[in-house]
Amino acid sequence: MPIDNADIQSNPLAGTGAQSANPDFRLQYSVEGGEKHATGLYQWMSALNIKGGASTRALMLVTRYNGDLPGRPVGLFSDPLGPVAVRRMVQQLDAVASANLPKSTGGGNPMGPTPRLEYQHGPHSISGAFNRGDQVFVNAIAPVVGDLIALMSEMLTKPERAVAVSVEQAGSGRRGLRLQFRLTNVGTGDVIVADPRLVSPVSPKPRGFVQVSPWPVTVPGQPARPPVWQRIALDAAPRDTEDTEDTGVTIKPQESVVFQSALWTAPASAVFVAQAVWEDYHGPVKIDPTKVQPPIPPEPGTDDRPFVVRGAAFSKYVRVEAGAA
Amino acid sequence: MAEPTDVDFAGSCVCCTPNLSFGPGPTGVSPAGSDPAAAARGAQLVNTLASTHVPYPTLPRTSSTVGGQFDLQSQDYQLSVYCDLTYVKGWIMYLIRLDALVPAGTGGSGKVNWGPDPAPGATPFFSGSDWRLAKESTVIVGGGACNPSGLWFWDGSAWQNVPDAWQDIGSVKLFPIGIWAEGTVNKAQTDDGLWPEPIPAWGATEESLRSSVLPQWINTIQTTWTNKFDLKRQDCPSTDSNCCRYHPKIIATFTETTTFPIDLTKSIVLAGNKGLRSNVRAWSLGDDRKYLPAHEFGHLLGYPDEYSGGGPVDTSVNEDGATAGIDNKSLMGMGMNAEATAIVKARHFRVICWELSAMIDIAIGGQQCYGHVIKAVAPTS
Repeated sequence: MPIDNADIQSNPLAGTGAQSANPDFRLQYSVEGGEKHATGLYQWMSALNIKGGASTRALMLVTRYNGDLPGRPVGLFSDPLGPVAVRRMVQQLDAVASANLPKSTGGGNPMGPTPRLEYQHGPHSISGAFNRGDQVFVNAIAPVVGDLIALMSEMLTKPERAVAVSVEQAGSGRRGLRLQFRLTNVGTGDVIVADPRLVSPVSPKPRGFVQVSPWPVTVPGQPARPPVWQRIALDAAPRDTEDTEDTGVTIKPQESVVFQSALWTAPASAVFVAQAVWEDYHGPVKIDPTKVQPPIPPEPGTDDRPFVVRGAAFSKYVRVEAGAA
Repeated sequence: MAEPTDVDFAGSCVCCTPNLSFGPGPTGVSPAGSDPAAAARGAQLVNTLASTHVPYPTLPRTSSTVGGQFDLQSQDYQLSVYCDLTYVKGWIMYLIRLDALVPAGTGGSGKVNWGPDPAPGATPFFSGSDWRLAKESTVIVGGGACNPSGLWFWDGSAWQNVPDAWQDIGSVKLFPIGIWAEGTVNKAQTDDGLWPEPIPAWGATEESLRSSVLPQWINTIQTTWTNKFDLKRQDCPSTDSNCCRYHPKIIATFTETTTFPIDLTKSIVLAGNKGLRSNVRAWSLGDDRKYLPAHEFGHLLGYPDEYSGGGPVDTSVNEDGATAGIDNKSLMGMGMNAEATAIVKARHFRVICWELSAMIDIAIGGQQCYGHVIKAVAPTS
């Protein structure tokens, strides 16, 4: 029985949380991969968190997309679940949990994505990290996981506290051109990001930059190289101001912060592809953790504090025409 | 980060202590001898050592005879462990599942067969055969505009744009693979082993990246494995704690080759792309995972993965945090992705202990019977 999102939409109670008959359960499904940071976040992480009860909401944390897809926001996504969909989901999970579920081999895969499923509903429980080598366990939970991934896909359209990065040409002159690096809060609540102009003391990598690559020309029979990116740093933050304190930048819903790139001079008059890259798994150094949500929120929909977005996002590609110096 | 505790798995010396079982060696090679004559020789050797102790601070460089792919040499108890990882230059590309986003009958699928296809609606958890080749592209096919999806797929005869609606929030529809050229043959980590177009040579950007990254990897291997344990001959009767105490130092090298023997653990595809995910045998020069090279080095020493779903697991290992060969706080297990859990365990020096034992046998002039119990102990410095 799939979790039918059409059903969620069509049910008059969907999103209202008005029906108190929803079962009380906890469900966490995450896919983790790459380096694990001190915050508990993984380099690539999609974590779905659902708490049953009177008002059942689903919360999803995304740090980075598999494939580094352009133009996709990262952060928190949330959606209320209608009671029909919730009951179906719980029935399905209970059935899997009570069907003599084989024990996960406790796997995971440090070289690839590791899914982890934790479910608790009364006497029913499912718990385990697994990988594709754990076929018996995978086959047993495959129907449930398929539905959860479908739900997560649907939730990508419901950003709550998430940022997207974009790039645009700011202007050009004889000395070169500048690009604008823009971080936009695409959600409905306040977010905080570390100033991308400041380098984290925890990681030597820049938090934000733009990159350009020659517009690819395909010649039949010739090898097509992957993009050869040239990195352009952002202009440094002004010295001796609070901007250098790494206290974080608050972005209101649907608002943006913009940073200029350093002046870039193209090697020759030509067309280029530009992309903005934002990557920060640590957050601002000087931030009071009691005044923001934890890096991995434990409960959906109960915390009004700003959320510090951590992860990596990649802008859509933009065509840039540059003249040589 | 190591756990410098004295763990009494001991070096080897199965012939002298026949009840001490470590299971088969990591590569299936064990110095354990069931030969009674060898056992007798070992016992005799130990008795001899007890009365006429001879230290061997210096031992000539020797290729391992007990498993793993390394050389060992000792100079004044400074024990050098030489390991060479070979690589072929290449790139990271992808296998992609498109499912119903492309019309039925679209060509190019079947590049790998990962078992039965999932049931309708179920998760394609790296299963089935509906996998096509894919690669990054900043522009759409034909080059007239930027590419919203950022990916192309191969339909069997040409590249096509991956539909904008494609995404992989569950990380189950996009798998990184290495591609490389061997002469005029364009190869890929797929079932048929082929990539459908000429594979570009590295340019100055990739060469420069290699120049900066490989020394970092070498340093990581060395610092992760060095000064975590000393190796101490247990049969040394000296009251000097430094006698027969060897200090292992790892000396790793990377050597470029022109072919990629896919069945050898000491070879990888070195991918020039920056920042993409790696797989076990294809490493991106931009991979952020600090302990990836140190983990791979463990394989060169002969140790298997300590997580399921990767390579073979030695289920006989039930010690020092491992259960049936699985250890989530180990460099060879899931722990490799975090500083706090990328731990080198005492058991990870077992094969080096075996080889050291064998080298001492040779130095004495006797036959190899592994008559020296060598323990991994906390380092002195």
